[in-house]
Amino acid sequence: MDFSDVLYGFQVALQPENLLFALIGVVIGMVIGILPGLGPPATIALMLPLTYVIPPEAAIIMVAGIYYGAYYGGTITSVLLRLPGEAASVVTVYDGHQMALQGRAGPALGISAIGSFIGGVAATIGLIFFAPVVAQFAVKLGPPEYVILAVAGLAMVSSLGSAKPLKNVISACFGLLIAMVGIDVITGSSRFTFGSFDLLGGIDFVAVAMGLFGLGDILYELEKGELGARIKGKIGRVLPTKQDMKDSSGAIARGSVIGFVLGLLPGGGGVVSSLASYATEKKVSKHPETFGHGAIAGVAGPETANNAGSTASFLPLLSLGIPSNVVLALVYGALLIQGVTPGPNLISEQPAIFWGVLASMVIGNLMLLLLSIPLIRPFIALIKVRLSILSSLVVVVTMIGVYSVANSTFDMWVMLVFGVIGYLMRKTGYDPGPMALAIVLGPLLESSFRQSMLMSSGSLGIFIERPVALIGLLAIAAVIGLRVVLGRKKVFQSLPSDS
Amino acid sequence: MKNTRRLTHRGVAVVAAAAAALAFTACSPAGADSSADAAAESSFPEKTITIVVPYAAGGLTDIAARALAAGMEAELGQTVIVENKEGASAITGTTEVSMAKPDGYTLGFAVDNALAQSEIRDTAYTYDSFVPVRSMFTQPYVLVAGKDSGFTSIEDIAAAGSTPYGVSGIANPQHLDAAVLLDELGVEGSAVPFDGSAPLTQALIGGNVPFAIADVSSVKQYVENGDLVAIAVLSSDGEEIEEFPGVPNLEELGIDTSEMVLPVWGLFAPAGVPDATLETLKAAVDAAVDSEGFQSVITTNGMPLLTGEAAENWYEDARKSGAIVKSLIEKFNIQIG
Repeated sequence: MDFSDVLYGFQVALQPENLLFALIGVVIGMVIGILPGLGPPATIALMLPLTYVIPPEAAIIMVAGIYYGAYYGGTITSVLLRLPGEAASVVTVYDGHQMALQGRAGPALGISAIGSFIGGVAATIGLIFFAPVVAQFAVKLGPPEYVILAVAGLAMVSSLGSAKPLKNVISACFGLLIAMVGIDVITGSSRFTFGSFDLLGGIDFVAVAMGLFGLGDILYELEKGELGARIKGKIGRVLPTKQDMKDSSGAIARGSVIGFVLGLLPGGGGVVSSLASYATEKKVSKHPETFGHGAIAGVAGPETANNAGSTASFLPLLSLGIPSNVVLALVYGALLIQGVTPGPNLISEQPAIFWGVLASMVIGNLMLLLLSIPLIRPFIALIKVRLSILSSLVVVVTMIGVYSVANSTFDMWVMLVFGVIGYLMRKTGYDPGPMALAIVLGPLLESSFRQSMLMSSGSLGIFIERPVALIGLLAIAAVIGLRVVLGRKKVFQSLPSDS
Repeated sequence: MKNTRRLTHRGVAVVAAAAAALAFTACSPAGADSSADAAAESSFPEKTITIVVPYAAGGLTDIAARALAAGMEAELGQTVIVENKEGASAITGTTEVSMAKPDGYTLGFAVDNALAQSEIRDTAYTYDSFVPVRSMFTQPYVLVAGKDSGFTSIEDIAAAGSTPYGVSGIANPQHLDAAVLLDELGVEGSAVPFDGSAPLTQALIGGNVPFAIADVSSVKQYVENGDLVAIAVLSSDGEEIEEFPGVPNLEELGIDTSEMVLPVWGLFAPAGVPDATLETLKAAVDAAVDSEGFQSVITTNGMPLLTGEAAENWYEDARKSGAIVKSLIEKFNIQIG
């Protein structure tokens, strides 16, 4: 790998046309990330016709910008309104929104922007140096590894927020039950659909998340009778303090690595990266009890991880020609239309595309950072709006957003039902986050497990025979074992001593 | 004084109610435009035409549909857009087309398996719910194995007593064809399903499944660079295909392919579209198919156009395929629905 390749990439990325499309992509991405419902896949599909008339590099640059721009937009609503734009933003809701309630929305958003930038750049550097090697490794990962990944993700869900771990697990179990509704991936039979055509497609995550977090939250707050602004008084600092930066530096560094590694894995990349980062930060923190109450590391880590993850997820497409999620499948289609077939030869046949896109990711992340800083203050003004007004706005906008996902009024009903469920959960002290995340992780776990069983003709040994799966299993066992041991130690230490 | 005010209020209410009643009776019922229909027919198209693709954007069907839409736009002078309505093995989008108004403004573009779903699942549509507009293309299949899988020829596969194999979807043509093949070879196979051709291709390359029947465009470049080995091909004419010179056709190897199905793509409309509108559409579609944009998409992706009798009778052939699919699913006891 030549340094001149990287320079060439920057040469391509810095051309005015490509800069313009990067800017367009990032802005559109941020806007749709803020708007609930409309996500990167739908937006990119809408913009596909545009990609025919622009050169392939510009097309991917714009689409990539939309992709990671949307992650950042989702963070904004998570922090300010406790509304996760997508599954990867759920984790940010915990400490991000708490920080906002403490008047620290500015630092929360700021550190997200900075962390995302660093994560994105780190992942890009990782891609540049390690692309061929990593690609060959990543392609070998299959269903057994995804099982371990999903199990790890579900295990980490228990450490979210400040609720009791047991309650989180119960919440997650209900999420798993809900995830079963729909067509069985393996046999094609319909489960829990009660003959309803709408339920055949399963229950949509966005509708559930908007219901649980948006509507449920609003119902709860309205019942409490607090109709004033969520926070009163001054906004406080807009940028993170030096102390904030110090507190976050470790989280950002770890988040970059975690995000990059997990982002290479198809499917669960974004969600699991943010979860893993949160769990890690809570574990290594000197003050784990602050998590769930506005610990900045709980925002910096996951945000860095999910941006590093979304950047890393381009690798299988760029070096092997295999798209690892819906968005990348769209990019693949856009390239096909242009007559470019992504594949192992892309790097040699179309170096402008390969290196240009990588370089543009660095530039795009920088654009996001520069754009978002001045926008923080106006965004924060949102939470100073009285709840009685804000709640109506939020309900209307989220309902429209939920409808727009699939032009389905059924999804709106789903949102209403889960709004009630979310309200009941808050009243009884259960956290909706694990339930929402289980809806994403559950299908991955189930289909991967059953694929693994089919691959091994029913033998559980497949998880031990494959090196990566085995390592994952041992790691999970070690973490759980450590917790049990340390937990015991704490119990003994807190017993009153006989004297 | 109070009495007068109350009267005024009541008076207002009565007037308002009367006005509302008048307004409702004045509204013409929505159905009174049959005369408008006839006029619309002769000036078709007057507004945007929508082609519904029951698959996610970016896939083969989608990009072909978009190329077709672009060509049709040029011919008809009206906007032609593609709407993706994926889900439930293409049933979601196909159902939508079947329920659309048969005025020629909503069309469906899908592979015939979307229609075959009506034979095997409880769908709201049947083959009779639609009228064919024009056939499109077909795609040959190729039997590929991972380079480290240990399978390099049909004999290798026949020698395996039992083996897992990959499929890109349950009970889709590739799955059924593989089941027929393994049955003929006397091999006990267990299908490992993946969610589409991209994950299946990845699994093949990574060695997570040993072999699969795949469509040509998904695997061509990996055969070319050696990650995958092409063992045999399956095409409608029993011959070798130009993408893989030297790779034998399953028929040449003595396999009975009469029960194997190949996909056929076509454009269709809800039944009941007036003939004049159909003629206008057909003319535009023919021109769009000949357009450079469309031709380059199908050539690059190895999707040869149907010609001659196959093109004429594609809808009837699709019906027959549907019946074969149904019988194969019963024969191999594949669980669905």
